[in-house]
Amino acid sequence: MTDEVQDNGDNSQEKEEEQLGDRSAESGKNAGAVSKSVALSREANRAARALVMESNKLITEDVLALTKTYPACNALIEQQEIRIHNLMKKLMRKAGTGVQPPKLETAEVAQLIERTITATDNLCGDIHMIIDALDKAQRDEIVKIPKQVVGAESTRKYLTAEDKAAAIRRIATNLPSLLAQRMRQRDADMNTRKVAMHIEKPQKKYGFSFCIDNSEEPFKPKLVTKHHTKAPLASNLTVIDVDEGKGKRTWQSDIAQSLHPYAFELEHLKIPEQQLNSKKPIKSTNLEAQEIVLVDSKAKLDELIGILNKEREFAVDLEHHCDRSFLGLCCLVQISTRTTDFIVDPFPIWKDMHALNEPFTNPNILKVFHGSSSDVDWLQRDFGIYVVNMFDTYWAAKKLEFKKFSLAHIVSKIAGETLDKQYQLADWRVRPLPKHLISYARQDTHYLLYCYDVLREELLKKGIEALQFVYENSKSCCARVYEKPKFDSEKCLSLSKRQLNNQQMHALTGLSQWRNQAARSEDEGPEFVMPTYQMLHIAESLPRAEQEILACCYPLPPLVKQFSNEIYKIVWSARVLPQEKKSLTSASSDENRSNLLEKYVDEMNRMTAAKALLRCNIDFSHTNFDEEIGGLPEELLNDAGTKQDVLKKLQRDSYLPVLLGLSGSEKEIMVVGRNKYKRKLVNSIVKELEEWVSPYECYQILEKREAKRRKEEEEKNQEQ
Amino acid sequence: MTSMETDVASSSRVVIPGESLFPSAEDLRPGKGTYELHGHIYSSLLGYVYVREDTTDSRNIRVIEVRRNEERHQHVSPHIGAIVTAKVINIGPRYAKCQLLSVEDTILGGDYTALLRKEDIRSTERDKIEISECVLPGDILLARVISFGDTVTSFLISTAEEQLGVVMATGETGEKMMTKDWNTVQGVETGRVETRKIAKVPNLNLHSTTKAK
Repeated sequence: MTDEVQDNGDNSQEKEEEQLGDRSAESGKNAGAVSKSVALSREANRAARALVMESNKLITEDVLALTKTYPACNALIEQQEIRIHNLMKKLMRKAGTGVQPPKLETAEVAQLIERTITATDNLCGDIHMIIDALDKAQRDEIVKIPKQVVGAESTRKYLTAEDKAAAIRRIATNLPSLLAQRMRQRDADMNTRKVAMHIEKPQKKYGFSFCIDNSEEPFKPKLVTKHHTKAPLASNLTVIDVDEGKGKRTWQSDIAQSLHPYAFELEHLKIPEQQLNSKKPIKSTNLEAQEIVLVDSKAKLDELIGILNKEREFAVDLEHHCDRSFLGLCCLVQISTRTTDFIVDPFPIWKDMHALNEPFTNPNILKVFHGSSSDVDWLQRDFGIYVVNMFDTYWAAKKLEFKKFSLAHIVSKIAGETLDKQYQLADWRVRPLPKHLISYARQDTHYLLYCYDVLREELLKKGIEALQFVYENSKSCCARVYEKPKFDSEKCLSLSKRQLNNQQMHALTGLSQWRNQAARSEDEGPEFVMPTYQMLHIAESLPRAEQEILACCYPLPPLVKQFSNEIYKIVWSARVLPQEKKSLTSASSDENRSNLLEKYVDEMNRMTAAKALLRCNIDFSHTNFDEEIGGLPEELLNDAGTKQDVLKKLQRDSYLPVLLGLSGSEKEIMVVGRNKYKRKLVNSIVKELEEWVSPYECYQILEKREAKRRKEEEEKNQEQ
Repeated sequence: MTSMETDVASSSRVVIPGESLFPSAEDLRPGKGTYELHGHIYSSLLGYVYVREDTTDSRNIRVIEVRRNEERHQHVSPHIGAIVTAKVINIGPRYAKCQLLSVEDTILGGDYTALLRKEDIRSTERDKIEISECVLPGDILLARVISFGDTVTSFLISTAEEQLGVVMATGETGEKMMTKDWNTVQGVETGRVETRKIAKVPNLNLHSTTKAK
């Protein structure tokens, strides 16, 4: 073992490690740099391999002894030692490893090796920590990656281990500062939430509650004018039924309500050429550079429509609220063109929103959505807006087999931007809209057009059929017809995890119905009227007094307080019901009891997947329970599937002939011995035992007598 | 009991627990002594295979059973709702501990114990009851199993029906007693009278004079 290292190997290694030290700072940037560091580590590997190859070519021990006898060689060796030592010192310092090579005079090979190993370990540790921190930040998708460099600072400054520790602390403190940023934002959100309870309901404030129909009647479409029509709107037909002798009968056909008004147009939609051709994707403009236009008046809305009518494509997204409204409310419509982001506040212009139908149903203008099924429903329900010619990025992601199909993942993968998703569940009714909500909302559509471009190119690379697939699915989303949610009073019974007796079930169904009616009349969400867990609590505990009911509901919803009398009546009507007890000990008839036994036995014998898991100690986790488990004997496998007559099987030989000796039900009492007296005694005892009626047999005889008597009585009654 | 008359028996095959009987089919149902697992019906008892026709639910279903005895079905262990014959072992303030001797007409092989709770003895006035006025250790009862107890072999029984209760009593002094009327038993030898909760079941052993028991 020598501590001589050849020039080449050493040089390349030093260069490598210095590069690594500097580059680790850069890897603090995006995920894109991770690939750079992968390439980097490959280079380092190559250099290390070269190093090992070269060092193997060096002279061996025995030759070294000879070499050292030459003074010139000795001098060279010593010179190289010093040089190498200096190189290692510089290297370890620059890379920020925190260790130093041992002093030349007292150096031992083992020590040197140890120090080198410690140095590389420390380096790896630093890199790991940084990569972990950034990984976590990326995974959460909530925390924005800060633009500042998180990682090792310039390594030239490192002098002692102290400096390194300080750098580590700096990394650690950067993370809490991100948390602090989140806390600040969350505080803002809390205030928004507090405001939510005190927000005046926009239905009342802006006066469009007459547009909302919460009744059980089927939904009436709100279409006012049909733009871009190819077929006339299927108006409410008047059907005249001529019945012989009974005269004419006329009624209105409501077929219009169940059809999609644009069904014909959608079916015959021809995708415009420019949407099927390949074109270079146009990148989204910078968030700060692009302006946000707030549309909240009829004039601004008309302006917007004018702009949209001239566009080739635009992106759309909606923000929805469902707590304080029975059917739900659209609170915001975000529309993005290539140059501008528009935020449409529908509350002041609720009745005029239908004018957006003009660009939305134009078959030559493309609308880009993400996850459009609920958006299409909401547009129909609230504004009577329909969509013709749409591209849904969700279907594109599915076709291209992305790992995740969320908007955030698509945007981060294609545009490289991380969307801040924390306001997804905020209350969007708040007016005036705070700045952070507006900037959150516009993000959803800002990158969508660029994503559409890139996705289109990817799909075209796969083939025109892939693109057609996405358009077909988007078309079926457009063809959705909104239907009001139906209320099923039996559904509430499945909510309870416990077995309820008839009183509790009555109370639960009554409460559920009241909740539904109150929600409809007050136009609130059912959960706001009375949360499900409170409803279950009341049904299960059946409180006796009104105060108790109010105590069951904590925190007390305002509508419960208002209608506490109604609730009390429902609970009281449940309490007065006679309690039905299911008792096994009730004297039931023969058939009932035997049926019970049959059912019980059936239940015990029927093997279900769950039971099999519990009972069996064989690992079935990787098998499908519907398939047959292998290992059955050949003869049985042959029988499987063939519907042989079951009776024939009985004749088969058993492979345990020993047990054939089991036959014989009666115990034959052998009388041993020839003693006549003993035999007689035994026989008399046996006779008595046979004559003796066991208690159960007495019971059975009684049952038979009862059944006979009942039958006779019935016959007598029938005769009478 | 359920109709056993339509059983198919002749020269049935002997099976052991775990032996595969038939592959599952729509018209085959695993009955007593069998179970269904992974598409096959297996036997869980040692005995003979029987096939029984069952025409309830207007469908022809064949029930596969395995029985130990050729003639009638024998129970392996008590099930909920069964009538059992029990012998009282000891009594406490709130319950009587009994040993189950037979389930319906199958004499049990194992050691099955059951608890007869105070409130399950009678159907009327369930709380104001004195156990020693209803059952005493050594009595033979007819009772019904109402639920499982703490362990696999322990059950809860009840005599809260007219036809259930004491059928043969043992007196406080240990002598055998026979039922006298609806509420009392009388000692065979001494004539001493005691109260019990008696089963309203016809006593068909009046002629019996056997001393063994």
